[in-house]
Formats: sequence, structure tokens, C-alpha cells
Amino acid sequence: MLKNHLQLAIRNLFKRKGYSSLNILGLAIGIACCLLIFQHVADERSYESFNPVAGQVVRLRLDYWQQGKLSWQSATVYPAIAPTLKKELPEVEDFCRLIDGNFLMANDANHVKIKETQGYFADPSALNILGIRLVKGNPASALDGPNKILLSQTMARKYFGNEDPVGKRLTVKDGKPIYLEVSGVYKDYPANSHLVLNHLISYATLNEQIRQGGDSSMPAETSWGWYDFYAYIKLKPGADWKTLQSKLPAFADRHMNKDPKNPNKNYLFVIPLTDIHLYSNFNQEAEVNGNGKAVGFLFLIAFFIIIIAWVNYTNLATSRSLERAKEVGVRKVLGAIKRDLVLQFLTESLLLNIVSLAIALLAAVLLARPFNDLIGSGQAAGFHLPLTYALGFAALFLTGTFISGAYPAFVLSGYQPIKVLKGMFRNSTQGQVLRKSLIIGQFAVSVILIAGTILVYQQVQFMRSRNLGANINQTLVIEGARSQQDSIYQEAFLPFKTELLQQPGIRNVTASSNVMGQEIYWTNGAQRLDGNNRASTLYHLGIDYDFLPAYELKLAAGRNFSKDFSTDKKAVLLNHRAVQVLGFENDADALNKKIRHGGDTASVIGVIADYHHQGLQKAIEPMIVLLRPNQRSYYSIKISSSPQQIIAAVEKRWNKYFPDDPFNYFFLDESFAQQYKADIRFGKVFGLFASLAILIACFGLLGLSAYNVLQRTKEIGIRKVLGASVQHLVFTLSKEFLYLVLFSLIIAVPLTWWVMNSWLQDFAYRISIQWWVFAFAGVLAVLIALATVGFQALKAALTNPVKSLRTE
Amino acid sequence: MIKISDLQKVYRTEEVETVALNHLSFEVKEGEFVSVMGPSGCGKSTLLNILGLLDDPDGGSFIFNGTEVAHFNERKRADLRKRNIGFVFQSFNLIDELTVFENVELPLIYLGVKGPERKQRVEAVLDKMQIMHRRNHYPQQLSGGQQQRVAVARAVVNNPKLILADEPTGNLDSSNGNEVMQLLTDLNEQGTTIIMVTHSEHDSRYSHRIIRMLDGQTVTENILV
Repeated sequence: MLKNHLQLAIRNLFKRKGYSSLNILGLAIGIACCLLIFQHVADERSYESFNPVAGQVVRLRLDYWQQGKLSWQSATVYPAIAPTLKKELPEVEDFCRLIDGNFLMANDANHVKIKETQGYFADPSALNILGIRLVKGNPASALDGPNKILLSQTMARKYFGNEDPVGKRLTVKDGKPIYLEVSGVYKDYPANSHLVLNHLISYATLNEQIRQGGDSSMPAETSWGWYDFYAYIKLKPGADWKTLQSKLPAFADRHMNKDPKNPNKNYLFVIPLTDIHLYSNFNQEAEVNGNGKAVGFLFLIAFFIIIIAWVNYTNLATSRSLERAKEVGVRKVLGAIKRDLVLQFLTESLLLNIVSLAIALLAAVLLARPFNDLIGSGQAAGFHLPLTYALGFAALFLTGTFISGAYPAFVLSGYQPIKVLKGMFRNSTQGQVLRKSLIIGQFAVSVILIAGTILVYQQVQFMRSRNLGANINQTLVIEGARSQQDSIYQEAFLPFKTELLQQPGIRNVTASSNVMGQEIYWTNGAQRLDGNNRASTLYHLGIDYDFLPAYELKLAAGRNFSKDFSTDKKAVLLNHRAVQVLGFENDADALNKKIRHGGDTASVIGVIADYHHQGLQKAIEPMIVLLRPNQRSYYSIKISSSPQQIIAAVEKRWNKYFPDDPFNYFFLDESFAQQYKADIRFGKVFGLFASLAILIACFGLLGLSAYNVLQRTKEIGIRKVLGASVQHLVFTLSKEFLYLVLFSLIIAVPLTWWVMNSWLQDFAYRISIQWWVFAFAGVLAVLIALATVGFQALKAALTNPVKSLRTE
Repeated sequence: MIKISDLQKVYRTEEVETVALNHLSFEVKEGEFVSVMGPSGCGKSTLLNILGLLDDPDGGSFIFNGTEVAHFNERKRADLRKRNIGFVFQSFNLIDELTVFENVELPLIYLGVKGPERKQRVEAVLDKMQIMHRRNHYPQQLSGGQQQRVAVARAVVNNPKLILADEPTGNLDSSNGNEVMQLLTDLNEQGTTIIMVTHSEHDSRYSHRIIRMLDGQTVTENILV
């Protein structure tokens, strides 16, 4: 019997080539999308899974409230917190702290010198807590004691080639040299971690350097104010992070909020290590994390698309019931019972789905790389699916295949043989209602995806085109020279700058602690000293005299720093936002007022009009701008001619004045736009899947309308004979489908509004959702549907009526 | 073999009630060849559907081989049908996706007959119907007469005790029609009971007895043999 079912299923597949192709293509696209998205979701959720103790590890987060308002939330905390937690709370087994440890580093013996960007000072326990696997060196002592460095295998190769680096020396070249002994080499830290760990310097080195700098208070151990430290806590086996979390408010009150009169409060939170990549998006994140919401959206889209494809199958299969009814009747007369027929139709459904699955798997393998590039997944490997996801997909596939096949199977097998064989059979109205509902559902999803795509693009466009309040175009930024000691730095920088300014095509050169598009990590509390004691955390920017004119920043009040005023070393600028948070009446009110910041007292000489230092996702933060002509994090060079020639000219002078520093540069507008990369990608992905969803829905509509026209051949003939025009016929045949698409709009509009509004909440500056987006998406869906259905209708309407009547 | 008494069937819609069978009674003996004739709407097809266990009567009795079957459920009817009754339709009702061989094989599959035996039985019947050479063709590749021969082959392959034929020559020209009637006659001579609904006086002359119906009732019975 099964053989017979299978044989017939195969024949049916080949006999109705058009129908089968529509079904298979739709299903294959749906399944392929689903597979690729499953892979992406699996990758995104696999972060830290390589770490054997990941389930026991959490990271601390600090929220800082000022005068009842949340001032900032940081992924980094004070260094004293973690050791105190270990002392006081029984849940804590161990901890490790990381703090930025990036320098210009050199292996003098091999003449290799690199400016490192992704390494940290780390406690010895980091090896265990972060799942770092040493391939050389002794794990017990690798980070114990000062001046030790661990290298990843890739780093070791960069500095030492094929030599064994253990016991050899690397030199930190920023300012006064620091000599580090390579104490071991670890396996490259996996890409699916929220951390990139190229090297680890022993934490004791940091303490030692601070001590040598003249501070013997050990702030990297004892500070309750320096919040640049990532703190990872390893819980005892069986301990629950929620229990730890519940004890943190009391802990914070004991240690950080001791003074009840202080309006500023610290709150501590924990986040499981495995959640950081998708659900942690705070200040000072180690890397740009993923977006749990976007991954969730994608997951939902995967289901939508595959369901649309199955809906097509159900729709097409039931619409063809008239055609299959005779066969059902004959089989029943010959003794088939309902079970035989259900099995037969399910076999057909299974065969069609398996063929589609095979094509989809092939497509997934071929398209895995371009797809990963598109969505910005770091996965270089081809298509792969972890076992749990593969099983999940298999379950989904079988369920979908069964459900989409079961409905037509039960409908068809329920036909009364005498009715179908005597031609008394008509498609049931119940089936039509279902088919119509399914079409409405499909098009509602399509409209949601079209409108969603438009809104994502609008938001990205809005962010990219909005006036930042600063001119970041035609700006070449060089990472500052760090190898020279402070005492001789100006001797190199001043002639370097002078020579650059003599170069045609260079308009301005300015040094600063930070440039637009980079998160400012330099923050400090600032307090008014004019009788009003209002205080707030301010974001600090150190600049030279030329920064404001170079970036065309506007002054809302007062003046820029000037060499004409020797007192400007004790002066600061605020931005308008800082004026607000410090409670000045207006910009002019802040002028000449005294402010205490980071132990200094300064007067406000000017107020900068607010500008977007970072992308429009972020709100404008209160900033204090200090005069720091020796600032050497970034040099911004404003240019007015061909960048290529200028780069060459700048590099020549760089090598003359800073021969020990690598020449690293970027263009500011491009670097700024990187902040929108994730959103642009999200838009592309949305657009791609919207197109595919519509395509699949159109396959379904095409099949249904073709069948509809076929069924109405006689009616079309009679109408033509009676004088109906072609336009009238096309309208008659298309209107039913168009009504359905219009109806789908009613469902789609509120849903889209709700979903997209929630997405837009992530942006500090966002578009408002306009009515025309829905109108446009609706018109587009209607036009696509019209083109699909109208083509069939036109073909039928143009047929000679004699022919259509003869077919009856 | 068949005894129906006081058989009633009424079709109801919201507004109209149509009496299809009105207290109909008759008997068919094993080995008989009976024609049922009458104008359109007289209830012949309804009768055939009930005799073929495709439909339920609303009242009365239907005894098939000594068993009351009037109120059998769907499953029992299907079982009785596939073991005892073969059907021949005016429009052949072959399955277009199956070859001649497979169409004829179908009743044996539903009877659970094993593969080798099926092959043997199908080949034997195709041979007998002289369409063995067309065994791998699809219905649409055959003439009307050939299609009906396949339908007859399919009807007899499970050796039914009864063949119900619904205007078997209605879609055939006279020469093909005669061939099919001869086939039925041969089957009858070999012992199969045949009940045939027909409009054709010519075809009815192949049978032993003609039951003429009007408005759901028997009006006359002519015995020809």
C-alpha cells in the first residue's frame, strides 16, 4: 500500500509540474530561510558555551543615580566590589577583574611593534573563570606577581614567530618602558565570546605601575569610585545568581550608599555570563554586543516565512480538491476507507516537503556564507546546525508537514463518493473561508514586513542625515603618538602640526582625548560652587585650541579656549545638556561660574551648543570640555583635497616625528557610520525576508488564482458571449483576491505599529511612524497581488469564448 | 441474493422535499441480470447507490446475502462492498494518474491481496478483457471502449458476487457499447449477478428482467428470458 501511495505521489508531483513547482519553490525558500536563521540564532545563543564554568559565572553592572534620576549604567564597576563580595557573601566562590590593558607593545629583539587594542590586566583567577586554555606555561603562576603577560597563540606568533615565547620579554612603549615577561600562551579565545582577549597582563602589574606613579593607596584594589573594571563572579556550585542579586541592594547600601543624605546612589546588578552577548548593552561594554531583540525578531520571521509556505501548501492542496474528488470517490467505491486516503494524501505532502527540504538544504549550504556576511555574523564556516537546533528544526518540519498535509487530507478523504461521482460536489464554503483566512494572514505578514522594512530604513536614514551639530566630514583621524615621554612630546607634536598645516589641502589639525562616534569613558563628578551645590557625573573631553573651529562646533554662550588668556588652563566649557543637569537657568547663566571637577576648580568660560558625540541611538550626555593641548589620543586632520595624497604626506611627516609609533588612521564619517552598521544590517535582513515572504505568498496567490480561473472557465465564456469587456472580466476575477489583501491591511497596521514602535524605543532620537508608510505598504501589497492575479485573469479574459465553453 | 422491501429515500433541502424511493420492494436472485429503467429523476441512481452500499436508505429493509445491511456503518459497508460488489460507471471513473494495470489492481490492494497474487489476478483479467497489451498505458491514452473495458476489468478483478453498472454504454458508440454489453453478458453467464441502470432499450435486451421505475416506485417488471 505504501509503495502504491509513494508511486502515485511521485507521479502527481511530475504530472502537475506548475503546481508542484510553485509548492516546492515556496516551501524550499521557506525552509532555507528558516534553516539559515536557525543557524544564526544558534550562533548568537552559543556565546560563552565553550567555557566549562559559564553557568556559574555572572558579571556585575553598576547603575548610578543622581538626585533621583538614573545617570548612567555601566558594564564596569569599582575594583573593591568583587573582593568584598567574596568576603561577605557565601554564594561567591571566586572573582576576577579585567581592566583595559592596551599599549604600544614591542618585541625589540625581533623589531616587532604593534599598538594593541584588545587586551586586559587580569586577576589570576581569570584563567578558570573565563575558560582560558593554556597551551604553554603554568596556570597556577601565569598571572601571579607583577610584570607577567600571557599571549594568545596568534599574538605569540605576531611577536615571536615560531620561537617559544615563554620566558621572553615584551616592552610596553607608552611613555616610560615597562618590561613584561611572557609567562604562557593560551589557545586563541573563541570568537563566540563577549570578550576579545588577545593578551592578559597580570593584575599585580597594574598595582605596581600605580605605586611607581606615586600612589600607594592601591586604588585598583580598594577604590569605590573608579569604575573601569569588569568584575566576574564565580558562584559556588548550586548557588543561584538570583539569590546573589537579592543581596546586592543591602551590600550596596553597606558600602556605597553609606551617607543617607547623599542624593547619589549606586545600585549593583548581575547578569549571567551567557546572557551578556545578547542582553547587555551598557556603557563601557568590552565589545559591541549582539542584539537579543533583533535575534528574537529574526526567529519570529523564520517561523512566519515557513508558516506562509505551509499555508500555501494547504491552500493549494485544498483548492485542488475538485480535481482530486473524483479519485477519492473511485477509491472509496473500490473499498478504500478514510484511513487509506488520509495516508495517501499525507504521503504526497511528505514527499513534497522532503523534496523541498533537500533543495533547501542545498541552498542553505550554498548561501550560508553570503547570508552570514549579510547579517554580520562572525561565522566564517559554512552551514552547520548544533544538535539541539537540528532536532528542534526536525520537530518543526515534521509538525508543519503533518499539519499542512493533514487538513487537505482530512477534507479530501471526507468526500461522499456518490456526490463526487455524480457531479453533485462543490467546494465547501467552510474550505473557502479557511483559504481566504489563510491568504489574509499571509498578506498581513507581508504587509508587516514591508512596512517594517520601510521604517527601519527611515530610521537609519534619519540618523545618517540628521545634522549632528558637528562637521565630521573630510576628517582624517590618526591614533595619537604614545611612545614619547610627556616632557619631549610637544617638541615633536608642534613642528609636526606646523608642517601639516603648510601642506596644501589640510585646513586644520586638532588633538583631543576622544572623537565623535567613540564612547567617552572619561567621566567624573562635577559640582557647582556658586551657592547652588548641584552635582552630576559629566563626560570629559580634553581638547586643544583648534578643536571647536575644526569641527565647526557652535558656542551657545561665552567663548572658546584662547591662547590670549593664560587663565584658560583653569577654565572649562560645558555643553548645553550639562548646563541643564547642573541646574543653571540658561547657557549665559553658567558663564563665569565656578565648578569643582576631579579635584580641580575651574570657571565656565563657554557653553557649546549640543552636538551628537555618538550615534542617534544614544542621548546627548552632559559634557565638560577641558583644555588639554598635550592630549594625544587622537589627531583630527580636516582636509579639503584628495585623501590619498594627504595620507601619504601625513604619513611621511609622522614617520619623521614619531618613528616609534605605528601610523593608524581612519576617516571619521566612515567610523561614525559604523555605529549604524547593526541597524543597516537589520534593515537589509528585514528587507530580504520581507521580499521572500511576499514572493512565497505570491506563489500561493498565483496557484489559487490560476485554479480559480480554471474553475470559472465556463462562466468567463458565458460572460464574454453576453458582452463583458476584458477589463470587466479582469476586475470580476481579481476583486475577490483584492478584497482579501485589503482586509489583511486592517490586521497588519496595528500590529506593525506595535512591533515597530517597540523597536524604535531603542533609539534616543527616532522618527515618528507616519500613516503613509502603511498606505505605501498596502498599495505595494495590492499591486503585487493585482499583478499576480490580474495576469491569470487577463489570460482567461482574452481567451476565445468558444474555446472556454467547449471545455465544459 | 438481494431483497429490498419497503425501501424509502427522501432528499430534503430547506424548502423542498424530494421522494427518491417510495416504498420500493423487489428481489434479485443470484445469477440474475436485471435492468432498471425509467425517466430521469425516477430514483434509479438512488436505488443503485443504496444497492452499492454507497448510501443509506431512510426506511425499509435491504437484505444482502441473507444479512440486513440497511443500517451498516461506513466501515462495515466499505468492507462488504470491497468483497462483494463491483461497479461500472457511465463515465468509466478510472484514475488518470494510474496505469491500466494499476487501476485494475486497486481493489485488490484495498482487499489486502499480496503483490505476486495481485499481479497474477490482474494479468488474468486483463487478458480476459483483451487489453493486456495496454497494461502500461494511462486512461487518457485509451479509446472510450478500451477505458470501459478496463473499468469492467477493475469491477471483476476481485470476483464480486454482484456487479452494479450505471449506464455502462452511455459514453460509448454502438460498436464499443455492444462489446461492453457482451462482456457483461459473459460475466453473467459465468455466475455473476448484474444489476444495470440504463436508458437504452437495446442494452436492456441483454438482461433477463427489466424493472421499470417512476417516481420512486416500480411500475412494471418485464421478464425477457
